[in-house]
Amino acid sequence: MADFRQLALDFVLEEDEAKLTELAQRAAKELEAAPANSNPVARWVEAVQPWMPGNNEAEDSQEMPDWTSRAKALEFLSRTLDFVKPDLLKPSQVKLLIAFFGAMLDIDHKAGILASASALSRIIEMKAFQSQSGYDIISKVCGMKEDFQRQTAKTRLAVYELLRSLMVTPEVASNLQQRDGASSGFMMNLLELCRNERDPDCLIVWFDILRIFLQQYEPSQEVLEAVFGAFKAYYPITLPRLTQSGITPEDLKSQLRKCFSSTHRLAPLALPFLVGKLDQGDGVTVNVKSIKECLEKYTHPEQSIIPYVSRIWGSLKYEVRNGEIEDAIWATLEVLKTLATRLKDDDLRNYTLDVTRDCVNDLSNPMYTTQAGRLIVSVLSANPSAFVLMVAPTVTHLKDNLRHRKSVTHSQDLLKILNVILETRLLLSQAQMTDEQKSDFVAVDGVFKNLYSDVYKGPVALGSNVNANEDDIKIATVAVQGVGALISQGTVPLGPEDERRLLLPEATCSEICQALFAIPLSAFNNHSNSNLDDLLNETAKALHRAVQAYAPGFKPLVDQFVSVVRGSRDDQSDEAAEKIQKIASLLAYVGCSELPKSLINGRHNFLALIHVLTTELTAAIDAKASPKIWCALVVGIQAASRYFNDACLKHNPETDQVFDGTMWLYRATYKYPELRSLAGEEDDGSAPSYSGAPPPKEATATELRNDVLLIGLVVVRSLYRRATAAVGPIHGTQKPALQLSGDFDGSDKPSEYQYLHLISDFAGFVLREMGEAQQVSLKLDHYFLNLFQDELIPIPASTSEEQRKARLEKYTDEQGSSWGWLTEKSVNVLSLGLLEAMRPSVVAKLFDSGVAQELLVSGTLSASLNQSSLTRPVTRSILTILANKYKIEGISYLVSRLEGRLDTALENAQKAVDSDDVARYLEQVSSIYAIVSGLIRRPSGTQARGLIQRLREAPRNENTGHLLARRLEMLVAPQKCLTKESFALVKPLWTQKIYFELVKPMLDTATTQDPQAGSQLIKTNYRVAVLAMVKHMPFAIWEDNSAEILRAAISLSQNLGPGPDTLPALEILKRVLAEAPATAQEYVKSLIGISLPCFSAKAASQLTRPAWLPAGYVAARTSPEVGAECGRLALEVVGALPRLFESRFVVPFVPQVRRELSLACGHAVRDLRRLARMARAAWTEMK
Amino acid sequence: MAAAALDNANPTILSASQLPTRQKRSAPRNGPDCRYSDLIFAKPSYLSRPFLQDDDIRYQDDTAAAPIDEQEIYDLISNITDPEHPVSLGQLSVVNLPDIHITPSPALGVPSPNTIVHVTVELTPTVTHCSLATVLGLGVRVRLEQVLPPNYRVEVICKENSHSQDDQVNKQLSDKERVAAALENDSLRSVLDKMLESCIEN
Repeated sequence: MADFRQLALDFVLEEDEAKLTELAQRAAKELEAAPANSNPVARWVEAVQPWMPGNNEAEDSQEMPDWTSRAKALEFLSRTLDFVKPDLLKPSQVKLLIAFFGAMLDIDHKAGILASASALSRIIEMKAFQSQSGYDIISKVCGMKEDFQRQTAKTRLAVYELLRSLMVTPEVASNLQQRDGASSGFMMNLLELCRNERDPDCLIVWFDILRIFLQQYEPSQEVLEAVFGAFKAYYPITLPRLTQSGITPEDLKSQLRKCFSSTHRLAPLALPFLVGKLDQGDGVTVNVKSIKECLEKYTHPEQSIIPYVSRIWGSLKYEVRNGEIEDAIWATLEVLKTLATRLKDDDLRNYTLDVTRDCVNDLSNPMYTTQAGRLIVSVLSANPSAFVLMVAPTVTHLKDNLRHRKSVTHSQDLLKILNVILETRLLLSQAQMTDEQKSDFVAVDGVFKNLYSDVYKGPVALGSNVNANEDDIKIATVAVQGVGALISQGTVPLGPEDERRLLLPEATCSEICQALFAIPLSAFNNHSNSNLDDLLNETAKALHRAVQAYAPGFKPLVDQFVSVVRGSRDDQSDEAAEKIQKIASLLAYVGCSELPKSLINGRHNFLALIHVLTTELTAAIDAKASPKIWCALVVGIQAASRYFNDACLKHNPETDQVFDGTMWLYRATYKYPELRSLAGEEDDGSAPSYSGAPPPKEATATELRNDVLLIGLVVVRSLYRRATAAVGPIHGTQKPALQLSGDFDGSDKPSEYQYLHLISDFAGFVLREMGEAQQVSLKLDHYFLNLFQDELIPIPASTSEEQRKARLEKYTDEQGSSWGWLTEKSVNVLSLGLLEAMRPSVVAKLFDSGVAQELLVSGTLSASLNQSSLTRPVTRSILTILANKYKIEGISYLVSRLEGRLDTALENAQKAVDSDDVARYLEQVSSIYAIVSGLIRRPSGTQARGLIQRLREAPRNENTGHLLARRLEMLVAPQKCLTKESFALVKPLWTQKIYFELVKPMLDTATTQDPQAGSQLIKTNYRVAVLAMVKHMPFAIWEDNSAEILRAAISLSQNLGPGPDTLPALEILKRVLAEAPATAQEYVKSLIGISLPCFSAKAASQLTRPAWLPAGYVAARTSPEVGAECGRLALEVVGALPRLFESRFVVPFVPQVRRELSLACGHAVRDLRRLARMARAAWTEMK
Repeated sequence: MAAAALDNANPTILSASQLPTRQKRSAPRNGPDCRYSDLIFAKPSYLSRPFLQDDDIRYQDDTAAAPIDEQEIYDLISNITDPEHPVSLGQLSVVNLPDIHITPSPALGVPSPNTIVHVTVELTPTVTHCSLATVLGLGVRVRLEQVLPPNYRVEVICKENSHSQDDQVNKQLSDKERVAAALENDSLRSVLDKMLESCIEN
């Protein structure tokens, strides 16, 4: 049989929390397991007898009883109960326990309360608990009287929890109500007991008890007032600053607020009290939040809310009218809105009448216009009924006041109010309404019908007035926003057969579109005025809304644009082209940036714009208009396609539905006859698809998106074909080739080149948006080879590996490649656009015929020939992409050819004496760098070890090594064509790999003390190479070698002085100082030594370069930009030193550095002076 | 400092937008219709360094040689905090751009480090009886001496007729020894440090 006494003793003596729980669990188990006849419950309770009053020998000896042990013993009982099943105890046992613990509450106010409260909380959850006992427990609790307040907060909290548990138990609740009735005597006793509670945790539970009581019991008015008196005394509650509990002031406020809003019966007490508090002026936000909660929660508004409407409005309106704290004003407006939502019929009418009457006078007073507007809008926006009641008088007053405006700001404020009313109508018109509400809503529509001509027409016209002043522009900006909201207004359908239509008549809608469009048309002439930015942005948004609401409004805008383009054909100025480009972009946004409800309408806008832009572009080229205008129109085409594509993507279309590869052009022109002229087909006179009535079938987003891509491809094809022409067979072969067409006469070379770049970029965009299957189905590799000139350039057939090898073996540099025109001549920018956006699987097909292999070999040579500075980088990008998107290291004959070429080029570069020869071989090596830069990023690319190892030797050349070393930067510098967006294959850890394969071995050579490794000059070359590459790598990669790299950077800067090679060195020094300053601690003197000459002319003049450095190694004159950049970095480095290092490292240099920095404050470059001042301040603080 | 003790309890304060600034090239408009402009007009990476060797780097304004001009001096001193009000001397119009004079004129180009350049700043106290005019002058002088190169000579004076005792104030401000002595005074030094706290560049 279980020895409960022993367990109790163990429990009393134990300290460890886990063991205590274990003991309690054991006791619970014993209670459940012991046979009923052994009366385990009685034995268990008796187990604590030794610690109870009257049973202790200590009592006799007049000693203080051991309160701690007694509390612990009682805790043994309560903890055991935590683990006892709820159905274990019999009713008699429960009663016995209640009596026992109840007695503790009576007699043992020192040790018994906490344990008893916890035990009782558990007991009332027992199945055998009888509801009548609830009253007894409450009575016992109340019996504590003043002793309750003397208990610790923890004990009180347990008692509150017990009370709350009792009050929410339904049986106990009904028993309490039966017993005490409305007089709720028990509550009066509790109020007496708890009246001085201050602990935040206890208050949270106590407020909850009061809330439950008010909500679930039905107390008499007297009790209600008493309870209200109990919690209102705390209002508005705060928290003692030093409280330890996790309760926030907001928790307490919210709990107290729940008491106020618990029942509508409190309204006569709570609302006057809260409004009174508000009138006293303290805690506006807290008060209005409480009022709002009451208004929201109270039922029976006719008794609880309506009597107080005037009083609430009377007080709250001043909070908005004269209030200064924005948060409080917004909270107040919310209350007024909530109030409107609780009222109906006459009550609502009276309330809105009060609001309107009180506010309209303020509309004429510029000081209060905004506040009046806020008040009106807050009530009017509550629901359609309030809106209907208030809108007509409000709009009438707004119109009157606009006619008699007091100032520009006054006009703006009035227009803003009107704008918000319009936005409100837009929202409310989509809300659920009863039929009666709908007809009321429609009845006030007349207010808006003439609003454009009465109010907005004049202010909007100010925007397109060339003589408009700043104030006019401000007014126009606000008016334009309103017009956007006005044109979007729709009617509310009264019946199921009634359609939702535009509120304004069509004539007004088109007038609005024209008036809005006149603003950018006039503003884009006046391009220097940045005051117009806001107006233009708002006009763009308003026009967009207008076209979304009124689709026929778009076409006239496009027509106006056409006349602008035609009028500018002879204009060679930048301004004319800029205007066309801006209008085209604006139309692209207005018509194509969002799909309307009817998707087909969206396609109409897009087609109309693209058709017009492309036709006008062709016409402009025909008319020999300035290439700047070509560029402007292509920008428009690209913007329209990008906007429309993004708009389609928002509707989640399927993105990789295959196209009909052979018939795509035919299908596109069949569907859209307007594209026929672009596709070079006979125009059969069919009307454009966008001009007819919408076809019955709506388009899906997927269909629409695919059409965008195909239409884009038709345009690309047309522009590419227009830009190229046959050149005739290349000498020595029978192969045809393409060159730029006669349109490119070189009259404005930069613009022509920009145009080519823009169409190439557009082609790239269209292709990039296609999925892999789409690209494959269209056979894009063919278009890369013939630039869409299908009939001029035949596509080579796929050949076997052997044949391809034989073909490359036959290739000689003298003859060159028959495809060289594609990647090496001026059309190469067009082929790059396609190649850059092609997926690797499509690029792979170029290798099937052996063309790509040939291009890789010929491209490395062409650089040294007669390429211009514009075509050469493009060729290199093509080489980079080919090497990246295809596994070229797997083609051994190609790699060995490239290795051979690199060997020869390096060797020649070493021997070359003539500067032309040096330049030629340098370009050849650089082209191989371009290939390697694509290769190394791809997984497995570093398998082309032969190439990489040869690159390690590039700087080992006294003659040209430094030139080759500098260009190694090309390997790691970021390139757009090597990003994931361009489908490049980029391995996540490629930088680490290249660091260990190439940079680290070079760093070893650069920093070794071994004289065999190379001369000082060679080592300097290696430092140049290492720093140029490391500059582009994250610090974490070279962190382990940061000390060596730091030394290399210092030594390079010391030897070369300020210049382009020192620039990466300084960047690296700055990064080391930022990431691992401790590494640089011992080099402070050197850091200062290399930094000073970068910004001090005096220090620079004292520099002497080492004798072993050849004369041409560093350019005689550093460009001002490089000089300034070096100075900037050097000043940042010097300025950081006092902050980074202990003063003992820095102090010895203070006089020298301060002197130089004070001189640098007069540096010729303004930004350097700023940095010098900051550095000077940092060094001045050094004592 | 209690409001009653202020020489001018309610001065006119200019907003930041009303202060003279160096005219910067205005940024292009960034409206909803310009969403793709940056993308479309982006310079291709192959036409930048290191891929294009003879890249003509755009001549940037911030690397061009530009002498210290009146606006730069104004920018250096206009954000000194007034000892009485929590606003700057620029906002109180105590320092004004037209009252800053540099000889030789910055229009002649960047002076060599051996040329002595004179900078004269005329202060306009908010009221003619301002008792803190010397402290203001001292603040301006200390600030300029901290940030100008050694070949610049600074003179701070009260604008003519802007102060009832302007000759006295000017005398104090131009007396090197009195200035040095003032800087030795700890309480004055702490007032100056407080005034110059707001002159932080970034």
